[in-house]
Amino acid sequence: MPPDLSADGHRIDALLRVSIGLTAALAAAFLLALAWVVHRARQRARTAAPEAAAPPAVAVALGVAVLVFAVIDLTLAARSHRAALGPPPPDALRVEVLAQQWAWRFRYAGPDEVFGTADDVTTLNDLRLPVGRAVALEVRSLDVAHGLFLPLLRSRADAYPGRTARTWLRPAREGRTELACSVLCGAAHYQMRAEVTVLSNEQYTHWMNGLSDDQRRRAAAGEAPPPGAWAWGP
Amino acid sequence: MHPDDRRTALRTLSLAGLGAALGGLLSLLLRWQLSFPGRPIPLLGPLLFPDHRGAVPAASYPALFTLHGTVMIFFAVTPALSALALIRLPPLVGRERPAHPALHRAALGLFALGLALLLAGLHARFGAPAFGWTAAPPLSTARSPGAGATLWLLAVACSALATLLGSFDVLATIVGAPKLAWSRLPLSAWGHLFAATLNALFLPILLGALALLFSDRHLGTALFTAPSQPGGDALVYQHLFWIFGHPEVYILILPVWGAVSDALARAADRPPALRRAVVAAMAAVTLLSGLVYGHHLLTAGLSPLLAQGFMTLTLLISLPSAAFVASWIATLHGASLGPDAPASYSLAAVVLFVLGGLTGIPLALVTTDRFLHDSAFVVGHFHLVMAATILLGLFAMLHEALGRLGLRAPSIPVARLHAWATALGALGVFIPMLRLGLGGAPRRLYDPDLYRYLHPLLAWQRVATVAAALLFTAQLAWLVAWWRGRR
Ligand SMILES: [Cu+2]
Repeated sequence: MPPDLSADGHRIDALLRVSIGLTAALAAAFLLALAWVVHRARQRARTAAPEAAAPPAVAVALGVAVLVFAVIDLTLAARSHRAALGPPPPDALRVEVLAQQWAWRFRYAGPDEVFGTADDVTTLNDLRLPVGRAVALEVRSLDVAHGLFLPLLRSRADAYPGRTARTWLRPAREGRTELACSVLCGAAHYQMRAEVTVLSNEQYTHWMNGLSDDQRRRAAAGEAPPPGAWAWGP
Repeated sequence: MHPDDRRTALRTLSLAGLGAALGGLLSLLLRWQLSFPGRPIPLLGPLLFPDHRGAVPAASYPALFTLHGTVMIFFAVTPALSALALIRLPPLVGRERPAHPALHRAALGLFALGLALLLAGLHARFGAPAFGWTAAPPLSTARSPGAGATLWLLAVACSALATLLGSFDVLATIVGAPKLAWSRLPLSAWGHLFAATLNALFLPILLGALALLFSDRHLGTALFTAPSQPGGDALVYQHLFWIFGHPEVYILILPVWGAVSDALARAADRPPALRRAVVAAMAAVTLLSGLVYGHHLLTAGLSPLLAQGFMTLTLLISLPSAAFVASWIATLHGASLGPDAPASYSLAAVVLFVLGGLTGIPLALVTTDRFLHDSAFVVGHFHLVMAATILLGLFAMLHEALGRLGLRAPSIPVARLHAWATALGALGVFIPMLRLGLGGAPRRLYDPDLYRYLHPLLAWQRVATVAAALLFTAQLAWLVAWWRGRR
């Protein structure tokens, strides 16, 4: 798995390791049993040794195999349930994401953290987040289905047009990473990528205040808004 | 075999072979692009893409994998199974001919018409269909102008109708067989029976979904589009499609399970172990197949309760699957197994099925699916089952079917070599895909080089490509060996 920059990704990674490990162990058990049985059967054919009668416990072995899987299934399902993220904390930083062929627009509520006010900020293919704080993402699409996928932050939400997809995450480490579109959305789907930067709280506040002032000044001067800075519906 | 049935079966098999060759060739183009992004394809490149120095153009890439998936499912595996049912089924139920051979003849015509429409769509104005084999709207409707997408809809509808007709014949042949003893019905016949039942239940849903797409494209409706207009919802199509799409996996593999059981038993010269448990397991899978489709939508915002339910039901598929493998091992336990071509194909199929089935577990879990959904892991998983296991199972069936068609099958050493080369090739292609998915590689990405975090994984793409070349070569070698000794 790629490095994990999030505070909660270890839940996914731990269960992934367990389930992959179990998959490998069960596959090895089945394949070794098969290899052994086939090896003996081939030997018998070569040496014309008499066949052994099928052991009477075959039905029991089948029952055990099915039972083992039932236990594993329910254990994994329970673990998956326990590892579920639940709803985001109420003080999470909210970011609205608008997906379209083939770009990502991010809208922040600005320094006052209230959407729909003059200090709102929008960016194009550039998502910056403060470290340590929960971030709730609401994703919408303007045209076709898109998939918001943040591999190093272990987060994903598929956005269908007309619906709002939600996910949340908590960056634990500063650094730069990438956001990919994971649902086929047309010819340039593969280019639908955004830079993701996890900043320290000071850096984030500095960037946010600067960008907010700048976008407000341009709007006041009647200048055309920078790419991505337009109002979108509720 | 009646000469009419023989002709229908041979022609349907040839069509499936043509489809498989085309689909295989397309997969090599895709593999090349993924491991050498933007570089000219050797030999074929200048012929196919003269305007792009022989490299796959970005805009063509989605069209290539759309055609690959569509051809492989609807015009290779599906017609092959239809033909093999026509060949194998009558003797299994003690009949001279199927109940309604005309249905299989009509099916052949529809398969051929469908394939022709699909290929015609490649040359349509505004380009070939490029929305993946699932044809999700609005990408497949409002955002796919031109006749290509419409021809794709009609092509898939032809294949679905053809499959339905063949399935009706299968059902009538089994259920209407005089002197039919259910307790002695071979597992191969059970496999075809359950698959035909699923076809009869779920293909109409696919046809309905296609009709609604057609309506959105040409009749001015906005059932699956238009976020600004209330009523339309693209997610509804996802439900409709996967209600069919998930059973489709079992439609294709149930006959293989039956054939593998019978082939191993015949080679071991004893009845299949735990025969009734295997029939019960097949019935359980048939039932469950319609109840698990929601795992395709785990990241689409299902309610948590619904997601948990689909997860648990999906995991339960592992119980009957374990029963199959246990039965195959028990059949061979203590037996004597000489060289036998269908048994070799079956054993290779079992190996691939064990890996393919078990890799479904991390995908079924809601939590880990958050990371693995729509990744290369998914592609590796379903190809292990739907491409590798089914291909080997088809060869196990074909090897015997050739005899009934009056054609000679390749020798046992050739078949064994082919079976294990195919298995090895498939492992070499699809295990790297699992690894890529664990590294976070999304599927359907034209140029993975654009992402920094994917750079360390390029070597795995190349391993898969080399193995794909081996896999393809092994099939060509089989074809040559068969052709030279066919009579
Ligand atoms: Cu997209």
